Amino acid sequence: MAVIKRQTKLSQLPKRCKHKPIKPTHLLKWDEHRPEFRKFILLHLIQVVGAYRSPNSKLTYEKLINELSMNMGGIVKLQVQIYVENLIYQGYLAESYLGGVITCTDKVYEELRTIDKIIADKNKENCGEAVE
Amino acid sequence: MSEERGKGDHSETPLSNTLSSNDKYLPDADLSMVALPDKMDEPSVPHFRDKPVQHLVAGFCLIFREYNECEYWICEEKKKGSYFVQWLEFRDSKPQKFHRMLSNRNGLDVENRKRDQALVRYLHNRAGIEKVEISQFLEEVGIFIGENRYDLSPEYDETSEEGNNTLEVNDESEEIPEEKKEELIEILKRPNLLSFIDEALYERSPDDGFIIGEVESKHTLNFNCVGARLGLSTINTLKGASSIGKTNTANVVTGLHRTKKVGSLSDTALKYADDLHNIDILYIQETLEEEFKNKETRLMSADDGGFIAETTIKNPKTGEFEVQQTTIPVKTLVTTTTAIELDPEFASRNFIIPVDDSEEQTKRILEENFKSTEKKLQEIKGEIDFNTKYVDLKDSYSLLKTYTVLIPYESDLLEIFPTSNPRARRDSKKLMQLIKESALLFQFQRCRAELNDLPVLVASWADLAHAIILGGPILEATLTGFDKRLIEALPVIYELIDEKGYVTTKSLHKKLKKSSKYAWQILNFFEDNGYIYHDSDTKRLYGIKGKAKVYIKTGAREYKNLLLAIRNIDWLDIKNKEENFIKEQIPNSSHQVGEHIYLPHYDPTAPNKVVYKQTPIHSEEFGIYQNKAIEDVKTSDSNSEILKNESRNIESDKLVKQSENVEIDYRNLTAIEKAILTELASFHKHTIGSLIDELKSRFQTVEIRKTINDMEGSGWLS
Repeated sequence: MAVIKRQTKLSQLPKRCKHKPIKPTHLLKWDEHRPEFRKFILLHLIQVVGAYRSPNSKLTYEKLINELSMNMGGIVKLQVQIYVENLIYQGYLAESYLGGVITCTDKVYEELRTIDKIIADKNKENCGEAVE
Repeated sequence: MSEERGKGDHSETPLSNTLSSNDKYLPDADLSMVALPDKMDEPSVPHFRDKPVQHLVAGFCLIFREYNECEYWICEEKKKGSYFVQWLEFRDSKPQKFHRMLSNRNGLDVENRKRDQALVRYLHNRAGIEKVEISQFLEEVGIFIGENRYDLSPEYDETSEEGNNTLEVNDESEEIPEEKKEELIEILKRPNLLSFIDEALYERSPDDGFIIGEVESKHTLNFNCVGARLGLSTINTLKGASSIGKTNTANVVTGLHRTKKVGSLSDTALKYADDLHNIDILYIQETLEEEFKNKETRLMSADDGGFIAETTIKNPKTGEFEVQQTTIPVKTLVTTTTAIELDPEFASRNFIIPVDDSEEQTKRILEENFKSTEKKLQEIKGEIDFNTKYVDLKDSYSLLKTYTVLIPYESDLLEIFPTSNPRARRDSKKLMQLIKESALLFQFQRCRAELNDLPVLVASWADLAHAIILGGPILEATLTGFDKRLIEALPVIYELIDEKGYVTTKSLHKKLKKSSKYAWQILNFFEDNGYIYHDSDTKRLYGIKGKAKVYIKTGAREYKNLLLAIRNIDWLDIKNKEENFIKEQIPNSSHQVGEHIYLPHYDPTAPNKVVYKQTPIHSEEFGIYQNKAIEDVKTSDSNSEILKNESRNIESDKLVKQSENVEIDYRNLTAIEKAILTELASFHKHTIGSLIDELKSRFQTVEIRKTINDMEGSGWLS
């Protein structure tokens, strides 16, 4: 789901605010992370986002960090926060929906597919090398 | 003053500015024109029907007549180039407006059939004055104004107060700002409006009551309530065993409409209810079996034109008691009952809405009930705004307008109803009513036009589908008088008869494991309705002693499902009829007949347990709609548990991982699928057993197994 199904508030229909996300304090080189790791994070991300699909609950920045930290086995929240900040900056997460609601963008799903391909190719290569 | 003087006597002598302006600033309410200076030779104010014309800031009022201790006046005001007309009723010299203002480009002196008809209708409905008399009066008023327009019109009408000048024709929506109105209309324009309604009824604070499930009941009740607002009145009885949520359903649905709650329906109570004109629905909290036999309840049907209440009052002059009659206008009634059998006369006028007492529904309600603390917390913390949709929906209803609904496929409906059952006469009306109500609710999505100044709305095939799919079970319950308890009991009775040759209260009460009184009531019902009868020969044959009644089947009447007959409809044909009708009757219309309808399906993963799926008209599903979604869920669950448990144990140790060469659509994953994929992406190796161990705190083991199985089936896992 690209957009969280949320309670429609007539006065506050989910519109993106047009402002640039703030540059995170620790800029990570996301693309240089291992694909498996990126996949792990992104999958966790869509899980949390999915869990907040109910119209009665909205996912906020704080909730996302809490949930992610808990789901990933109690990772320190500051650490998670760095990743969330970076993901927002890179456009995987859109924070600026009105009311502080956070959701993931199409980029997440596209990236997941790309990663699957990368992993598959990498494994093929490895297999090839092993045979040689 | 004489009539002649009133009629244009002084049309050439304009009123002096000073004098008329004195009166003009009298407030609306103060119509005691006694204080008028009488010093001029010329009558300063024109008279109509022996009463001085009352000047208002931007117009005037003319007397009509006295009736039932009330005075009725008509008043015309000019604001920003439009004329606004309305009736005023004076009781004890207090004016009451009892309908909306009608606006028109012309004043009352220019004939406008639509406006005049509306005026006649309003007053007739309010006061009961004959329509002919009102029409004549309007004619007279027209002539009078025409002759005296100059005297009557205020001098500086164009500079009149700002403010409500831009009053719309529909002044109920007056308070809603334009922007909000557009948003509300957007709601009514949603193709899946029913889904929105469902959510609105569900997303409510736990204290206010909410509805989960009950798809047919709530939508039918809601249709009827929308109808009430727009002039189609019905009686709705929510029928079912005690404490299964009848009152809740009624409360939440009627809460969307202008409703008056009453404890009982007595003559006096109704008569002194002065707000009857501002409400659409009378909600009688609980009706006992005996009460259905009361005349009051019965006569509240539209066919009977309302109910005449007779009460005694003490005449203060003579000190004696007199009988006073008041006509209670027809209102839509909503009531609840636990009675098994309703008075047949009442039942036939009624929409009997059975309340869902199935196990699934109980489960749904229990689940919700045990979430109340969570919901409350969310409410306190301000994380949720529970009522938004509900309030928006309520507001949006006020934007609905009255239309005459035309049904293009009427003749096709004829074949649906069994002619063998005379009750079909009334029930066919009920079906039509539901179609109209659905069209009215979806009016922003239907073809609208004006024919001869009369606003019309063309009902769509989708409205028939709504009426049948949502209203069908209710119509059926009404047609047969059955509710779920009875539908369930009938096969049991037949089975007993087939087995033993007869059924008695005793055998049924043993079989149903319910009280013997319950069994007796049920048998009584079926005997009255001719499904079974007491046969003394059989009693003798089997040697049954005592008073016990021995029932056997009647040959003639077996329970037939009306809905089955309805399902044979050729939907494409209906749609063609609709398109042709629009083409022929409303040639300028650019309206496109839709291809889809949203049908409800129970889905345990949705918060409100129901999803509305877009279904094209060509779809197979359409012809054979049944509550099968519920059964599906049930069977798949039980299957997977029993069948797969065994075989799975052996495979539990096998390693699982995500297949590499399969593209997965990450957008459309269920929660379990996501969880499984995430686990597999973590840095542990997983077997089916370890996956289940990992996830069983969050999901049911059965579901996890089933999902793994499905994912393997689609090649995602290897």
